[in-house]
Formats: sequence, structure tokens, C-alpha cells
Amino acid sequence: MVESREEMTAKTISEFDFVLSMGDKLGEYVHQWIAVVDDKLVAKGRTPKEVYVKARKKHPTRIPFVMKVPADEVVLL
Amino acid sequence: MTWQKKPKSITCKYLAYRFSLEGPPKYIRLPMVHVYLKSGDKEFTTIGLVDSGSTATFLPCELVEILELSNLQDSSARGAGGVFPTWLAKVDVLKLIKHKEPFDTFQNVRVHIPKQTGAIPYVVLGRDTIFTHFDITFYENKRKMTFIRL
Repeated sequence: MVESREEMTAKTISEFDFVLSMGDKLGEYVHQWIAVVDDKLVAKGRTPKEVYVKARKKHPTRIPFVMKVPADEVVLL
Repeated sequence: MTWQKKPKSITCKYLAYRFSLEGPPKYIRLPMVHVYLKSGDKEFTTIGLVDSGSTATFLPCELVEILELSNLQDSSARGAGGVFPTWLAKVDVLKLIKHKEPFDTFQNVRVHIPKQTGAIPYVVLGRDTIFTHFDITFYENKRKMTFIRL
């Protein structure tokens, strides 16, 4: 069986790799929570629970990637 | 059963992008690694800041809701702005991932959770987790970091 390029890419590239590849496009989601499955941004919203639930609903068998897109606030712990 | 040797050296790119909300563009460059978290039957992946300045590992309180963590104990942590209240909890599994492969796993990880919503926007991996398994070099201008397994 021949796999499409998209299928092969989805098998080797993680959700975080996809996020890294977004470059400045990611800046459009600053301050928002996003959920990614394979190489698709499947949800965005104001809370992680909200995007997690949406992602699980769309892809019930997959483990979603959830993150808040950080702005340039100074973080000191 | 196959046995795969764990790589001695792992290099990860920084999370880097530019954005503009109002005024001039701003630049983000953060040493983030892909993190898997599991508690009970709840699991997801997210980003974790590799922070040599933090003695502990932190989890944003917003993520507690997804993991449904219980047995939260009152605690506190000291930051640059003084002492702030936290909960102490344990996460069943924390894995570090490169591409789709985990390159390290921690079990029963003790995490601090700031009680204030929005206090931290991402997981902070401090010297009690990732730094106990790796020597880490930051290449700030090349926007990458290298983990050398101990």
C-alpha cells in the first residue's frame, strides 16, 4: 500500500514540530489556547479544557497537543 | 522485543516567532521542549520551558482541570516577586518528546501548581526533573539547546 506524502508526514512529524514550522503564523494566536492533532490546528479558545474537549471530540483516539501561545511577557520564577 | 539505544545527545529547536498586536513587532524565543503528561486516564502533550533558574517543576493551574489531579497539598514557592501560594501534586507520567519519540520518562513527578490563574502560561521544567538526567547547553543565538544524557 502506498502512503500519501501527508500520511507519511503525519507519522514522523509531531504536533510540536508542526507548531515550530508555523513560524510567524503562530503569532496570530498569541494569548489563546490552541489544540493540535498531527499537522492540523483543530481548536482555539480561551481555556485549555475547552480546546482539549474540542480536540478529543474531533479525534477521540488521539492524544491532543494543547498549549497557550505565549506573548513576550517577562517570566521569572 | 526490540531494544533501542537511547540517544546520548538530543538537540531541540527553540520556539520562535514574531507577532504584532499593537505597535512594533515583538519576538518570541523560548527554549521549549515537547512534553507528555498523564494522570490516571487523562493524557495530553504540551510545551515545557527548560528553566535552569527554577529549582522545581511547575504546571499551570489551568492544566490541572484536564489532568483532574487530586490530593493537592497547600505549599508555596519563592519567585522574583516574592513568595506565592501553590499546590503540590504528583503527575503519574511526564515524558520528553522529540519528533514522535519520547527520549526520557519521569514517573510520579512532584509539581508545584501556582494557585493564581495565568501565573505561568506553560509547564516549567526545573532542576528537579530534566536537569537531573541531562547536561543542557543553550545556544541562544542559534535558537537551539542540546541535552547530553548523564
